[in-house]
Amino acid sequence: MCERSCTSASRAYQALRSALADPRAAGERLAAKGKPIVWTLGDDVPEEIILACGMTPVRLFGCYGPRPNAEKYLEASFGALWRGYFETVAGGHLGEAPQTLVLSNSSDLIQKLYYYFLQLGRLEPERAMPRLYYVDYSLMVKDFSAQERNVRESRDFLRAMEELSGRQADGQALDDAVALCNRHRQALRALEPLRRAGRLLGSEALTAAAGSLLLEKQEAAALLEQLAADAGTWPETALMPVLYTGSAQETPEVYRLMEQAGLNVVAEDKVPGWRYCDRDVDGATDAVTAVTLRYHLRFPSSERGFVAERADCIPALLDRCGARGLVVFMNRNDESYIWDLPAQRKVLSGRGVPVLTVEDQDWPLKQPELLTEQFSAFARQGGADNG
Amino acid sequence: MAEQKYETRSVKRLNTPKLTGAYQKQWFMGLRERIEAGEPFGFVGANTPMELFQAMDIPFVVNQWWTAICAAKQMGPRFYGFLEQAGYRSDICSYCAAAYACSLDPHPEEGPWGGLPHPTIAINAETCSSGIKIEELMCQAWGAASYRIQHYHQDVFLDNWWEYAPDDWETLIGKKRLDFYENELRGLIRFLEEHTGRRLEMARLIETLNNVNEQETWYRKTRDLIARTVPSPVTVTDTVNAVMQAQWHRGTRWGVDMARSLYEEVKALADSGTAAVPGERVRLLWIGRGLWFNLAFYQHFEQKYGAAFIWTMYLAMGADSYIRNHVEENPVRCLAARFSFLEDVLHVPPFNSQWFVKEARHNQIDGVVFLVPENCMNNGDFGYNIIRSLEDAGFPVCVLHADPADAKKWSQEKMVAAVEELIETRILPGKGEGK
Ligand code: SF4
Ligand code: SF4
Repeated sequence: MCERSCTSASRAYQALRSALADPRAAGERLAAKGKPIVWTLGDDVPEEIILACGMTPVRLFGCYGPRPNAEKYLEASFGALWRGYFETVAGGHLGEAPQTLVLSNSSDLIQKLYYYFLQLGRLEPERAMPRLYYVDYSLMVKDFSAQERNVRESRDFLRAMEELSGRQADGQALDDAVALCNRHRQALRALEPLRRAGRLLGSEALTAAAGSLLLEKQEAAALLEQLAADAGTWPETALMPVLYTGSAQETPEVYRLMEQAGLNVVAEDKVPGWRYCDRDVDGATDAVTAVTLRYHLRFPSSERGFVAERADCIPALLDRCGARGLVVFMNRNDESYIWDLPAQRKVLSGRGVPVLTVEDQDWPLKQPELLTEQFSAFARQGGADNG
Repeated sequence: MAEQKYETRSVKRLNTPKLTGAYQKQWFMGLRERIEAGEPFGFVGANTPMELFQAMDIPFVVNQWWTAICAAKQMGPRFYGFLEQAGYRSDICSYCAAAYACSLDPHPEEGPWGGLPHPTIAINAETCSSGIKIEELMCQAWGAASYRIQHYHQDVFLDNWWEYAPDDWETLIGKKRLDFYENELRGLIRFLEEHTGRRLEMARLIETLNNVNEQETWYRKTRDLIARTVPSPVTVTDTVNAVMQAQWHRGTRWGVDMARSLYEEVKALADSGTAAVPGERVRLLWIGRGLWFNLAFYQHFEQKYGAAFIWTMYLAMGADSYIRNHVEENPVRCLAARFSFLEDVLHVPPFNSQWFVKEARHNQIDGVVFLVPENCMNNGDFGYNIIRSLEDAGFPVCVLHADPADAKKWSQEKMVAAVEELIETRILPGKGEGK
């Protein structure tokens, strides 16, 4: 299925799609507005703090073109997603001017990328590397001491960002930043019922959500709100609704293949995607604590979640989004899911929910025809577990 | 079990490894009795502060040590099959999943030395998500309580870390990170006290840590002796087991005695001019996890080329990265300073690359064999940087992609050919020698 004419006629969708089509240009446009931009890599960089210091957080996307640096410098254990990130940074795809990059402790391999970037800068001083920061939240352990650590980490990060921007973030600036990010998240959540009804396809929702991470928050929220209004009149699809987990998708390619084969992703436990808007910052405590708790206590990712926790959360998300199946799509060497899956499968098979497991994937996709076959078979079978 | 067409058992030259091996087995056999009598039993990752267990007299088994035993007994293939039956992939994480695989065995008593008894507590340091999940599954299977030591990244990068490690560890690790780990350790101590009913005595902890320093000092002397002695009196097959086994009992007098005994044996050989590889022409350094199921591989090149593997991390880490002096000032912080930095030495650039280069020089190395574990999704030591640093310093490197725990995937022919090529085309010509 190519892009639907109803979707592509939407101005809001066009704007979101074009941001995603060229992240570097999106970054340059943002920088031209006068506020410094700060790239973020990993799902747990507290954007609110960057915003409160008068800078614009922008999500770093992988490079989906030739990746000569990744090939040269990375071990095979770095799967397709991580290779894309490495190429964006090492290949100079962030832009000409000196850049700033904040990484978060969202997976083991991002932490390694942080060390690699530092070392690459030492090895090859002529290479323009961004100025680097690292936010080291404890994300798996959630006890009180981990919460305290994370709040300390946020306070240190706030100080570092204040120093970088030369601007103090007072209580008001923090509250405003929180309100803005909450609005962005609410606008994304408003897409949920549309996805559930099949009015907005998974590939479209992913494009919109990902594109919105490359825009200023006000603009992102306004476009998403407009998109939700537009999509309210679009026809519903009869594709089989599925929940997606596994390696994050940053482009709509895989979701499109699924749609062509009869599957529609109605939610994903990933960023970009549903997991980004799963939880707002709650205003009951001081802003820094509240921001920290949002990142700490939201839906557990596979990279930073326990098996038992995910065996509870995945079926709950499946119910919430109205999916009738689970698709687990794993890049080669991005397979921590294999340790999660049997427990999830057990719960889901008890409820008659089928699970499709796709392993050993790469970018560019090696055998899209084979994938289409797997997706089609799953859609046809609908009810039975692929086992 | 896959049939091996090549010799996997190494020839033993020293007595100390026999002593440590026998003690280990005997200790393990006594374990079942202790557990049946109601004692707690711990299962820990290699990168955890097991000194606390030692000081509290809580018996424990080290995950990676258990993998090494399973591999040495050629039992890997049997265990990994259980993973597959339970819906997991058997081709991933073999180094960390052996004990979990054992816990799925319907006949655990058929495992090495009568099988692994069920631990009551498990400790893991948060350095790999898959590793934590595997530990979670194990604990569930065993009904064990677990404590996960949170991880905090290293943000101080000093050159030549080994110069700071013994005495100036505050500077090396940084206040923020040390404060953090000290706090984590206090949490762990409380956990151990609660779950075992035992108390950590301050005096005992200090004694344990001092014993560790003494033990590691013997390793330092042994490493230095091998480094300066040409031809080398021993090779890695003589030292790896003796070191690895005694390291798990570090902090005890037995550990110190075994380290000293190893030194004395190596010293006697050196004094008498005995060469482990008569006519030694090539000295090799091995980077990576030990090839436990095939220690004979290290000896394969001795006769044909006079090539001796004389270095692995097992002895050298003892020498350079364990000693932490000034125990009495704050033993918990001192322990935190040891264990928090252990992994970084191997995995974080430039700590790893600088150290390998320094050790290659110190040990008069001619070439390096670098084992990259192909089924570890968390493998990321910046291998490019390691290879480039070594080669820029004049040490040719050959890379082997292999699984160090699962014998059934090992290709002896391919691996031998790669090392032979290194020796023939890059080492011998550089020494002005043909093959
Ligand atoms: S959904 Fe309807 S209006 Fe939209 S592209 Fe398809 S046929 Fe056209
Ligand atoms: S990814 Fe590597 S370190 Fe982690 S559990 Fe697997 S083998 Fe062990």
